[in-house]
Amino acid sequence: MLGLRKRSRSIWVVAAIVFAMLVGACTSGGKGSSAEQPAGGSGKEPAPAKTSIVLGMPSDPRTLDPHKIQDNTEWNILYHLFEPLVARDPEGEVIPGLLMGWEAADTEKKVWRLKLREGVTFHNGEPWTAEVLQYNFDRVLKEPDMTVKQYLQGITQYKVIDQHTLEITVDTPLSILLNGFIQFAVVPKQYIEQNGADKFGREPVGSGPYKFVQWRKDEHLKLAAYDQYWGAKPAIQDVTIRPIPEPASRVAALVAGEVDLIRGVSIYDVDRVKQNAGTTVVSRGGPRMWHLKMDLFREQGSPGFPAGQRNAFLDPQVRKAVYLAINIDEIIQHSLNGFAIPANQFQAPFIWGHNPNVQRPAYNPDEAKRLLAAAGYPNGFAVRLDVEEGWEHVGEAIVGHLDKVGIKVELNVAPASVYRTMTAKYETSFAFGGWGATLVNTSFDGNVYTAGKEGLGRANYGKFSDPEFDRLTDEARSTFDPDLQLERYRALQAKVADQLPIIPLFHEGIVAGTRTDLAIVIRYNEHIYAQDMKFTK
Amino acid sequence: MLAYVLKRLIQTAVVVLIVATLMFWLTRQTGDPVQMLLPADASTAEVAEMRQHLGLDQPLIVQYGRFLLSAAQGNLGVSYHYREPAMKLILERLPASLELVVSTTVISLLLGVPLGVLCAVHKGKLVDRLILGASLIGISAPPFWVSLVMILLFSLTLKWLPSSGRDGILSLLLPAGSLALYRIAFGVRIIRTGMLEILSQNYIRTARAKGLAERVVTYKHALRNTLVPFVTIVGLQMGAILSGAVVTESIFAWPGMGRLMIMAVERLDFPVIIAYAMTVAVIFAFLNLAVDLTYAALDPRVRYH
Repeated sequence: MLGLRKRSRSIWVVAAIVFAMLVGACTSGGKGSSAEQPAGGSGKEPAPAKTSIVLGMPSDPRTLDPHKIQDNTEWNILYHLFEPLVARDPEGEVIPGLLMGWEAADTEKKVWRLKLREGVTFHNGEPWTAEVLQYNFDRVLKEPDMTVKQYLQGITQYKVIDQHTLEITVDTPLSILLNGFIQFAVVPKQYIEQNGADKFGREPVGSGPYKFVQWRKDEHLKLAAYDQYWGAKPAIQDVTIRPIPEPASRVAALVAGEVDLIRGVSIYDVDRVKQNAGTTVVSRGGPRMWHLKMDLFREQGSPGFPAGQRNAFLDPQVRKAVYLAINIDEIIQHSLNGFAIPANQFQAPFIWGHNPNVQRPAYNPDEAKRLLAAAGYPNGFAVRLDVEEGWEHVGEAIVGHLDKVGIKVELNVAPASVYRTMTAKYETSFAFGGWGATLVNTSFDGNVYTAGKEGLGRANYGKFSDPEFDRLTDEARSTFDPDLQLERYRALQAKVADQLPIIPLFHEGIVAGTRTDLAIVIRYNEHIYAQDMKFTK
Repeated sequence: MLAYVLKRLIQTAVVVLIVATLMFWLTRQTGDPVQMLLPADASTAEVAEMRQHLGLDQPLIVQYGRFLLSAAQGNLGVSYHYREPAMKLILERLPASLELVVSTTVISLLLGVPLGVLCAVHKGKLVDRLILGASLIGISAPPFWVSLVMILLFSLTLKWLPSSGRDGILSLLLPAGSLALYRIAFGVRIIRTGMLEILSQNYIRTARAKGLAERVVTYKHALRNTLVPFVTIVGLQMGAILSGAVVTESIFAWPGMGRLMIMAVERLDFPVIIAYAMTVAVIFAFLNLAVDLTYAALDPRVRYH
């Protein structure tokens, strides 16, 4: 009897020990030092972490190689380790950075000398020289898997003049290239040649204010301030970046004090973050322009219209009617919680290329109905609206507004992959889409230029094609006269507002959640950097 | 016995091949990965180049042929998104998922079995009714909701446990706990039913007649015999936990295979999706085999050929 009792009890003891051992063995690799996280899960009050910070981001980068990334969040993260060739201040103005300046070496402005900053080193001590810049160009133009090649388009030749001067020959205005260079980060030649691209993508070396410490994929990325950085020393010394894809989990982490800042607060969570003691919401106007695209090349057989129905969007009066029928103020107030401004053109007011003379017509459903009747649709028409997952609330509002003027819209919400595949194949008649719109040239090249011509117009889902638009876009892109360039782009903005190849809706605001004692800067291109932050206590 | 195991291994290989083929065809129906890989302002020339680089411009049968050839050499393809071997990505995250599965199983056993025994022994009394009622909630509550409620309670309100991430044993408790809730509830009911059935058997009456203490009757005889089929269920449940972990890993930002899979599906990362499906098929097959062999070891009446 005694023996049996011992055995049954010992079973639980053994089980408990095994459990503890298993978990201990498995998670010993996952234990981070809680000194770097304010709350550390221990439940105590967050220790005042003055120089170390934890950032909650919506995703983990696929690689730490800045020439192989693709989305805004990845660039945001990598711009702690790396720097773009051309630096910009938080409002987008070009400032001296890795490049001090540039001067024309010929009268036609097709040969330029780029002047490099002296005294800059990468995290491994390697110096920043014209040879390194040349290597960067070589790498992106010749190696596979590079995602940033388009930013070098227009450079026909380049050669080293001296340690800090690279001469480039271009067939496109320099201003266009300089625009692209903000996505073009600079990588160290020696380090990659010695260690290979694979290792570079896992243990990178850059020239930015923070150097690499540790990367556990999908868990965290740890960085520490680089003491030989050429620029302003950041107030924050240690940075931990945690990928938390679920928006609700991100907000929970902020409210619980496990992270100090989160990028990407959904509209629904704003109040919760504001009401929580110790956290608040910081926002600013953003560049991303959300708009409606329409089928503009098929008269019959447009996929979003019922079979046999004519494509109503071909008539400019119908497009104007849709523009007037959408009450954008109401959408911004109710569906976007006020975090947006109405748009009437691609570029937001603070982006170069914005035309201040273009106005958005006032909401006018009666005029919309009149226009529809004049176009031959007194009773409206039916159409399907394709919307990417996450934007159902705006889609539904649009459905409601258009219904009031007789347009019966069927809302089709699709995951990003389905939406992108569908629109790329022109399987849409009416789609709600967004465009980064930080660069005026790509806004027109991508959305309004004849699809497929010169490799452009990839986002022109309605195959809008107008020779006048193409001509103006070509001129704007290729003129070497900056004043003429601005004038052309402004003319294009006005033309868009007039002909409506797309229907502008709003410029999305950027919303971040932070601790109340943390001062941050949200940049014009949606990026938030640790080097811009400091604790205010 | 050896012949039996070999036969099962061959069956597994066939299943994995079928799974791979199905997933190969299915993924190609879902959309165009190239659209997810390049920035919106990349030109059509770059899109075409990328498509060719990934081999997606070839006819389906050619793609399939290439896939089979490299799979035979142990290469399941390179992730479109990460540009690293798909199998390597999965194996990197396997430990995290296994941690979750094992700790969920252990928690559900540590709590489910004793509670089930308690119910059976005190059948009909208040204790039994209360636990049964609670287990009903445990079985019906949607896992997504359970996870969020637990975060609300333990992370935000009580601030006892971290709300996400994998960083020490405390961060394991919420994800494993929310996954375990269903299993505990399930286990309670199964153990209870099993024990009740056995407790009504003749040999139990005999044991009592022999004068054995009630505890001996309960544990040595009734529970032991209940546990034998229960092992089967636990083994198969581990496979189910692995699947269910997909949602839990997303909510708790737990860096496991499941989360990798969800992101691969969103990004149309075909090689990762296929590699994941094949890995899970292998895991399930081995779990089944382990369960069958354990059963044979425990119950002398079971024979395989």
